[in-house]
Amino acid sequence: MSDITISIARDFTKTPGARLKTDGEYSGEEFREKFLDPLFNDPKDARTIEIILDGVEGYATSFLDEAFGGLARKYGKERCLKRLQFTSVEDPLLTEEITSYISESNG
Amino acid sequence: MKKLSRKGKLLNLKHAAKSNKRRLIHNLKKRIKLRLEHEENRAQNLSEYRKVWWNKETKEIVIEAPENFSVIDNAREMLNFFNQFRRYEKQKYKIFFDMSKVKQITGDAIVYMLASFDWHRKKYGHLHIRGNSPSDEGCKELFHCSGFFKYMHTVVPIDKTRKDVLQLTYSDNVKPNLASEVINFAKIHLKLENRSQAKAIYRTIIECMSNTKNHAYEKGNINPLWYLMAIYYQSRNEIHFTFFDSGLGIPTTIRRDKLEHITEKVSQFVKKISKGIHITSDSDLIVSALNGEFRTSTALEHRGKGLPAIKQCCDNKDIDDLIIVSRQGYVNLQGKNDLLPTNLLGTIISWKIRRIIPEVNNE
Repeated sequence: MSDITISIARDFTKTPGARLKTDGEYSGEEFREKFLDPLFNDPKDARTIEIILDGVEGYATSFLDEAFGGLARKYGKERCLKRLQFTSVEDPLLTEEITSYISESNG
Repeated sequence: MKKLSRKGKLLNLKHAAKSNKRRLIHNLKKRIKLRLEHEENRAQNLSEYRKVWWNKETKEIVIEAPENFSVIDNAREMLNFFNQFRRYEKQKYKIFFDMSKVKQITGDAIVYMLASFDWHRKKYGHLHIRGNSPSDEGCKELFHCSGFFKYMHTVVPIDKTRKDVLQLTYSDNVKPNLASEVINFAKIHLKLENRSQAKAIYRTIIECMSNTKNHAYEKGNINPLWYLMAIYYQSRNEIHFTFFDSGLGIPTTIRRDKLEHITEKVSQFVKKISKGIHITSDSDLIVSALNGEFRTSTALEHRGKGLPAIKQCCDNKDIDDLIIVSRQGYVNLQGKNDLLPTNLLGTIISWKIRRIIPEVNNE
């Protein structure tokens, strides 16, 4: 059971965009700054975060990499892998994909 | 010889000056006349593309469109056709596009035509073209409903639409809402029940838009346009998507190592002095980018996933018939690659989706 739940479709958008805010609306950067950065700013914060990936039209790789890979590059991959849990019923392979972006980041 | 007086010498000089002036003017007129005739003859002379002629009555070049008006199915002839257009338009001739003999027309050709006009108008500041519609009723109807005429001065009604055509649209930004509209179009016509197919289309479109925004054009370009269109073919139960950007082309913008840079320069030099070929062909470069061989122009390790993601959708059979045409490269992931004789302006990414009918067990 996680401490915090974020549903991308419910809390952010059903139509995620690309990587950066300069690319257009609903970018990975925007999502990360709005929802994830505030939860990672405090180094002592150890709450688990469940990210629900269902309910959207789809995800570009650039969105996922910037949102979660970018988080790992900023705060460290171990910390991200420890605190983040992903739920994706519609596309189970998404979880694996995001985990790879976090693991492969130089954080 | 009789010696001339001073007055006589002066008169001679004046006469000589007048005579010289007359001769100069006469020669100039003759040169101008010859030049005009030469220009006319050059226009009249049939070039390597034998469907170009000079219309004396309207004083414009007529360029006949290929019967198979499709870049992905008939790349070489179409490139030739557009090269003729660019050549004569650059020289400020008026041009008439004769599309009467077109028997097959696809979305990629319509998109490419509009983008070519747009590019030409922005680069040279002028565009003098007229044209007609295909005689074939099906082609004519599709052409009129494509959305092409919304962006032209025309007598064709611009509000003509068809439910099976997602009209040509363009932008310079990533538009998630538009990608969502495309998904809805696919869901309505193909009754998509397979969620992974819908997500694959969405991913492909967003990746294409993002690539155009970030990589396709030279840095500092304030208007990195992309164009998008989709057509549903009921007879084949498939939708054909076309995405296009008139940027520098994938082989130009991707990251290459020093050896590839050198071989490209060498092959360009060889090409200038003879009919040389690219040692690393444009098709090879596109395939390499699709395979994720660290081709991102940013040189950052976590980048360069866009094209491989699109290829993954094709490998998973969520999208079909993925064809990428860029510069001289023609890559057909489910067919044969080709090396085109001249450059395509920009990059075309074309793919299809077919309805996956779930199997029913009759037990």
